[in-house]
Amino acid sequence: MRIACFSRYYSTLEKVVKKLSKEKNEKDELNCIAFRYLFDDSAIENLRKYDVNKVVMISNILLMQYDLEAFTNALAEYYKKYGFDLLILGNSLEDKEVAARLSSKLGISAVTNCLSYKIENEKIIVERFHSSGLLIAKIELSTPSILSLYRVEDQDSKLKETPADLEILKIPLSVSRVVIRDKLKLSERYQEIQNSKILICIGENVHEEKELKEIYETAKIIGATVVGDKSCYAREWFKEWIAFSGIQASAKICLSIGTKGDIDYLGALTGTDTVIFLNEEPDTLALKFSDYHAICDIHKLIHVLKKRAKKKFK
Amino acid sequence: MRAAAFLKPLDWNISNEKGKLIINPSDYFALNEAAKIVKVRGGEVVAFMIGNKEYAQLLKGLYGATEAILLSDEIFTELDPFSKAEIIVAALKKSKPFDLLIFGEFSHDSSHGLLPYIVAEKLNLPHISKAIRIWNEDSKIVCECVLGNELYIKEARMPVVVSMLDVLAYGKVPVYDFQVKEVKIWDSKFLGIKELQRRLKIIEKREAVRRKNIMIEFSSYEELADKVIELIKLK
Repeated sequence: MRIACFSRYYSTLEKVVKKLSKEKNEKDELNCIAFRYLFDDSAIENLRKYDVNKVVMISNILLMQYDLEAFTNALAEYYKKYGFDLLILGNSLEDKEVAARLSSKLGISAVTNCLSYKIENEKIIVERFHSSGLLIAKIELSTPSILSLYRVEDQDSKLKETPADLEILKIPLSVSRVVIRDKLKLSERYQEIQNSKILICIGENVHEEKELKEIYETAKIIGATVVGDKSCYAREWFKEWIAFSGIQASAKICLSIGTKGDIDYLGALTGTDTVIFLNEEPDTLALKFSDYHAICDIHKLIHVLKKRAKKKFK
Repeated sequence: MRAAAFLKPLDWNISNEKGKLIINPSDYFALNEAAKIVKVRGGEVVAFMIGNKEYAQLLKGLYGATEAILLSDEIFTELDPFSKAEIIVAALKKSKPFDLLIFGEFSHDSSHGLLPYIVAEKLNLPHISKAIRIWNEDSKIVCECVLGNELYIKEARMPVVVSMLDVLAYGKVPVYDFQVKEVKIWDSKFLGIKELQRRLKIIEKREAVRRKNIMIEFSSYEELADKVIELIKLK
């Protein structure tokens, strides 16, 4: 099988290369695709140390920053010249976008949010998140196909004594039809939220800013990070939101206060060990997807929780 | 200005406990954003939906669209994003040209997030993805987009495909200025589709995580707070 891999981010691409070089069979041919100007030359040189057959460096100055059409067209040029049975892309939002547009350009299949895959009799069997992460679907597809992974974990990989071949593919590209006028950092807390062990996530039913203040005080006592769902983002209480379409939580415990049963939100908690829902409405879908839940007056509870936390965490 | 909005019906029981048919929230948000532009600039918003004839009830009387077209046929079943894109492109070819094709970024059931990208490529149009706000300036569409922890302002000349995240949908009032009076139904014969190729075959589905679903019993708020704190301490 001819396998190729790519990611918009070097750290992800390196992890994908390590994973694939470890998993590949003797008969498999593994090529790593890298864009010159997007990654520096030393990074590309580093990729050659892994057990890949070839590193193909695609060269055009327009690949210096992410552009959906330019990236799609560059990978399509790779396909024209080298072909592949399977293209594995990383887990970034950009990788998913490229997988989608490229599949349409090449007229082949693509699957996003892949948790695992195996090859059986020329068919690819993929497990992926379905229903915003609440379900896992097993999907069968034929080659050639594009898979974008849901997560890429780092693993050890042997380095080769002689570096893999490097080929440079110079391609023409048109200037992007989508122009970036401005770009700014939205949130400084992304890593903090993703790495937090205890999360307090608030939702629509927490109305008052004074309650938000009390929640922050409780969080400080118990060592939690406070986040919000989409409704809190819309209220401009936070610069990020917990959702399958936003930040996905992988905490030890998440205390969900006043959030509703939005499937996009619930799916984001799939990676969290224990979920406690505290809400006023008994019928929300959220209760069904909790480990523990209580129907209560959350406004009263927010106040009492702070007082008791102060006492218990003394 | 002519805008086309693509609405996905959801009747799947996890997304809606009572089994009520709804429109995918991010698609509905996208429709209303298109309607706001058309309200100011004038023009039409055509809502497209793929599904069986009972879905016409979602479109009839729908606010924010001037016209609705249900793409319905017995061969339009078990569709994947690639076959849906084929139907949409065939429907667009049967319509007058559009300046804006607007989608929700992804649906709450399959969550592929592929459809707007496939359609944009098939029509060779620029695509602004993950938009949370959209507006029109002369011949351009401008969007505020969120990609990870970065906010971008992006623009493209029309015609353009835009896919929207519904993060700002909370508290938004729909556009009541226009409403669908009659739902047109287009079938495969009208669209010139003889056969649809399905590339993704779902073999099985299972729950990603099985939760304990234990109700915390309490007689006072102090007791409830203590029990919650104990659970946190255990972790």
